[in-house]
Amino acid sequence: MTAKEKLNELDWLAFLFVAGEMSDADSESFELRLAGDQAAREAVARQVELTQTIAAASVVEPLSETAQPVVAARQTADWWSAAAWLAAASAACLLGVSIYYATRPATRSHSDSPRDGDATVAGVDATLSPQLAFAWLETRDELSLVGDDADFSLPVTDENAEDSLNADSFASDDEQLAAPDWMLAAVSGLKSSVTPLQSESTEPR
Amino acid sequence: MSASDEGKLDPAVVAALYVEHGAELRRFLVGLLRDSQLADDALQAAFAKMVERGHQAQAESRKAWLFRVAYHEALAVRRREAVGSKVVQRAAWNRKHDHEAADEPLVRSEGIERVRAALDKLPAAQQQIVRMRIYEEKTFAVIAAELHIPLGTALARMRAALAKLRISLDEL
Repeated sequence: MTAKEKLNELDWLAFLFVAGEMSDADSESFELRLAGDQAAREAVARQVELTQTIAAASVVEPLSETAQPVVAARQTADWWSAAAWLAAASAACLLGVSIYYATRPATRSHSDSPRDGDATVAGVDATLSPQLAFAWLETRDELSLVGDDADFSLPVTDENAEDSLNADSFASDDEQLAAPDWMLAAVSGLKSSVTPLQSESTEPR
Repeated sequence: MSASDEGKLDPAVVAALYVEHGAELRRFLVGLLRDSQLADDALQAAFAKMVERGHQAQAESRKAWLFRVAYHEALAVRRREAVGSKVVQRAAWNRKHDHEAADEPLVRSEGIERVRAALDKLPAAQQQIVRMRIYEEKTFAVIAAELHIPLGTALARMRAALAKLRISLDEL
């Protein structure tokens, strides 16, 4: 630091006096010095001018961003926090939508287009023919009263029969299902006439 | 220029002294009293004394004589207002107690621009100290505690910043 840049001792004392940073004893001592020291008086006047100019400059236009590292850090942290919350909320929404579409019941109307990944039963898209599935369920119930020959594994409940249309509730391919002949015929006819991405009429025969 | 026959200083001389030293004298009084209103009272009293007894001072020392008179008038004003020096702890640049006289601004607009430019050039650490001390009016002890730095470091940064800012203001 050059001599010019270094604040001289008298100016520094004058600043501490003006800023109220001196102890009571030092402040009274410096004040007594002002009674006969013109250089000290002029130093006080200089420091008042400088500090008031700095204060005026700060009020009109805040200091540059480089002077506010603490504030800037807090603002950056707040931004990141908000961004994190937004990302979490978006992920939650996407997850909810995904779960909804994955678990929603197959209540699509006949005019709806089949979508990829939909449930299938015995090679047929179950959502295309809910009526057919219902018919099968009723038939199965009737057959269950006859005997134990059929190996049924459909977890149909009275509370929510539509849930039985869910792909998970249907029997696996490994299990043997004693389907009636008319059922097999209807399924065979649907399978040959329906393509995955076409919105065809799916009225049961 | 000479004293009038009544022993009083020529009003024109007094007016010239006011123009030449009034602003600096007022800044001195603000630094001493920490209140611009009291500073104005002391300033007015000092120049009134100048009119009455200014002829007793040598021409080359009228400035020092004026400042000494103003100093004593400031102490008298402070006693009258019952404001002890121990009570006035606020900084002299506290804007809340700054009632600037219309014709005696403490700061010049061009000085503000120069200082603002110089502030932007200060190192970030010094800018921060200046901002916290001058703008936020925190003591150096509080600043040092908040920044987790020694008190001497805070003082040193402030002193270095003031030196640079002083240069920019002296260039006017």
